[in-house]
Amino acid sequence: MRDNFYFQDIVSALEKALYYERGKGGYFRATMVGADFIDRVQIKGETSEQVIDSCVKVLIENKMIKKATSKKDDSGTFFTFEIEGCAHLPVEARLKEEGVPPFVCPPINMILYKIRELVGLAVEIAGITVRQEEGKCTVRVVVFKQE
Amino acid sequence: MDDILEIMKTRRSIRRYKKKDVPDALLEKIMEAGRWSPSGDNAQPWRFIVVRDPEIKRAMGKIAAEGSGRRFTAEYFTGHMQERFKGLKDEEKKARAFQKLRSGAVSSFLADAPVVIVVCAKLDVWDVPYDAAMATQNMQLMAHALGLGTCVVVAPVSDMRDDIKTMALLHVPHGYKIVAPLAIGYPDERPNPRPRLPLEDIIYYEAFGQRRKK
Repeated sequence: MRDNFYFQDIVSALEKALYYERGKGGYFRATMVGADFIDRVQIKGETSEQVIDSCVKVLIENKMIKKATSKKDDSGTFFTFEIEGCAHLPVEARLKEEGVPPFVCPPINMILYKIRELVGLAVEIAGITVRQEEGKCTVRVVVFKQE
Repeated sequence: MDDILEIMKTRRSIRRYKKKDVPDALLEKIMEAGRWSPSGDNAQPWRFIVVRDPEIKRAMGKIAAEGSGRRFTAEYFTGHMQERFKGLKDEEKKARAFQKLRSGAVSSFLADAPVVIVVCAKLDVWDVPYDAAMATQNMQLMAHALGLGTCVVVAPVSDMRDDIKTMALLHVPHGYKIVAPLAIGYPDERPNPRPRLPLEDIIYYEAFGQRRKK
C-alpha cells in the first residue's frame, strides 16, 4: 500500500529528527505518542492485566499489531511484552539503517497510558528490542505497585 | 576580571578576529572549562573537534552561509526581518543589515576564525542538548576570561540539510551530533552590549506570570 510507505517514511524521518535533537532523552518526549488514538476507543479494566487485554484487543482489531503477549515476573512489577507484526516495524527498519536505536513504541505507550489512567499506577518502559527478521519486538516494562 | 558576573556581562559574540594564532595552551584551558561542565548522570557526552585547517573552515563557512542565507531570505520575504528591524530608522544601515543576513555573510565569518572548536555530543545519553549547551557556555566564558572572543555559529548544523554535510565534512559518526561550532580568536572588534530585558520583566514568583507582591 503506497499510503503505508508514505507514512512510514514520514514517521521514521520525524523520529530520526527527534533522536538527533534530544538523543536518548527523545524517549521522554515521545511517551504520549499513541495516546490520542487509544483515547478515541473504549478501554476498560480495573487491573493492569485487564487493561492490557483490552488494549491488545483494540490494537489487533485495528490491525496495528498481529499479536501481543505479556508475562509478569515474580515481583509483579516487571512485565515483558512480546509483540508480533507491529505496524511500526517498518519504521524501525528504516531507523536502524540510519543508526537510530528503537526509542518509541506506540502500542506499549498506549497500554501504559491507559494503565496509568484507569488503574492509577506509575509505569515506565525499561527497554525495547526489535527483532526485525522475526517480525517481533520485546518490550520490558515496569508497572509500579501501589504504595 | 575575577568577578564571574563581570565576565558574563562583558562577553560579546565576536565575528571579526585578528589574524593571530591562538596557542594550544589556551584552547586546552577552554576545553578544560567545557570538561568541568555539569551533565545529567555525569554522562559527559561532549567531544571537541579543534579545527584549524583553512580548507575545512572554508567549507564550514560555505555551509553556514548557505544555511543562514536561506533562512534570512525566507524571513525577509515573509516580512519577519523587517519587523525585527523596525526600530532601526537609518534606511541605509537597515538595507546593509538585510543584505548581510540574506547573503549568509552573517555566518560565513566562521571560515575566517583562527580556530573553530566543534562541540559534538554523544546521543546515547538522556540530556544531550542541555549538557552540551552548558559545556559550550563554560567554554565561551573561559575564552573571554582569557582575552579571546567567541561566537556560537549554529548555521552549519541547525538545518538537517546542512547538518548532514557538516557531519560528513568532519567525519562525525552515527551516535553523535554536532551541537555548536564555536569560532574562537583574538577580537578585532568591540561590539556594544546588546540590550537585555529588565530583570523585573523576566522574573515571576511561584508561577509563570506572577509578580512579587509589593
